[in-house]
Amino acid sequence: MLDINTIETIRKIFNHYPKRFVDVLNSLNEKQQVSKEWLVEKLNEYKYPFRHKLKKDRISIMLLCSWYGMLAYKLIDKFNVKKIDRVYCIDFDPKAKQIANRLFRRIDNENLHKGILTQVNYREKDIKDLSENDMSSCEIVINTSCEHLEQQTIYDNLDKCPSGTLIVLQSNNYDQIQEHINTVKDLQEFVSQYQSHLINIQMYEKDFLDYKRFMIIGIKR
Amino acid sequence: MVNVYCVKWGTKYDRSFVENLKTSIEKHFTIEHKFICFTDKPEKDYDIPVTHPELRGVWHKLSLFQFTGDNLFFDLDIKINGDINFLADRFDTFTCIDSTPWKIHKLDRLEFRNDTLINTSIMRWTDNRKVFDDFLKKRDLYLRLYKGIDRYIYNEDIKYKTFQGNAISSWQEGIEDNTIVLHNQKYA
Repeated sequence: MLDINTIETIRKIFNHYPKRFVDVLNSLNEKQQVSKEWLVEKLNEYKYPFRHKLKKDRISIMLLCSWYGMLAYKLIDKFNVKKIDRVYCIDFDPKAKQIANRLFRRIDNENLHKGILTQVNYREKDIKDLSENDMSSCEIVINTSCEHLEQQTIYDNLDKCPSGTLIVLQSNNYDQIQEHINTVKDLQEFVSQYQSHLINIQMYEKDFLDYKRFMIIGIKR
Repeated sequence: MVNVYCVKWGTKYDRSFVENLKTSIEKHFTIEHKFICFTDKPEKDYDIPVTHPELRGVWHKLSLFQFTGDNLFFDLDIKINGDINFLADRFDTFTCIDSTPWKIHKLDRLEFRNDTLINTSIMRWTDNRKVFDDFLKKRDLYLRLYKGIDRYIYNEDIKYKTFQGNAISSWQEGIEDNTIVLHNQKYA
């Protein structure tokens, strides 16, 4: 059974953001959950050193095109390589922060009671407008929406990351979706797009029956 | 001079739909005009290539707003049975079709489905560049939220008027002999 708190959260989202209701449900669907859990699992297995891995007690993570920020909470739950100081969720959707606050308020409170001090900060921003300064504030940068972005936008963003930043990228071959403007045909094509930007690349593929999701984890050169 | 646009993208409609529309326009629209087909596969002298190949299907209709002037747009699946000069009586505010007559029964689902009470099978505009520029700035968000441009325009508070009078109907109303009959979603 759904617990009463979840039902209450769903009711509030429906009442306050009816035009976003389906989109919110989509952001939390099973494939989204599996993709994000898969990401955290493989990130935990990644063995190569990244910037500040040994120097800092706590690191910060930036999520590009973060939607309503579900991945932030998967990371807080399951990421075990370092303690996380902040997760920055970057999205140009002006409603993302308000909706995320309603979705995850209870989890934020529960985490605080458990002594988990990680802050999730939402910033309404186009990733094209992020500066080198913005990118240098995080040791790990994650973009799970490569298929939604022009390739040059991804490259420009990568170029702003300091050397040594741990980069996680996801894309897919699901070209039947109208917002997927930059799909790749297979994992090899996806990897080849980033070989000149990253070292120590680990590559992964997950089959979702009607499409495949691809992931690479590497260190910015 | 009025620019009369249509969009042919993909394989849903074959070339005969474009030719039929062109012939109908020549017969029923006697105001001086230029017929233009905006397409991903230019073949004829009246074709021009789409400018934003990353977009799909109906979203190319929205990209027509980059063009200024006295402009009309027609979907390929409309039937014209009589004089349509009234469509060009004034070119000021962006104008499209009120779809309430065939959508009224769906009103209860309107909001959470991001549905719409307008239809863009026919559009009239002079300068709507801002609408397209704003769309491009957050293209990914809008493509995620809306299935088509009717929903985008209706739900994003874009200013529009609707054509007045009773000369435009939809086949969904069971009407086939009006001046203009939309066959919207008939070929989906």
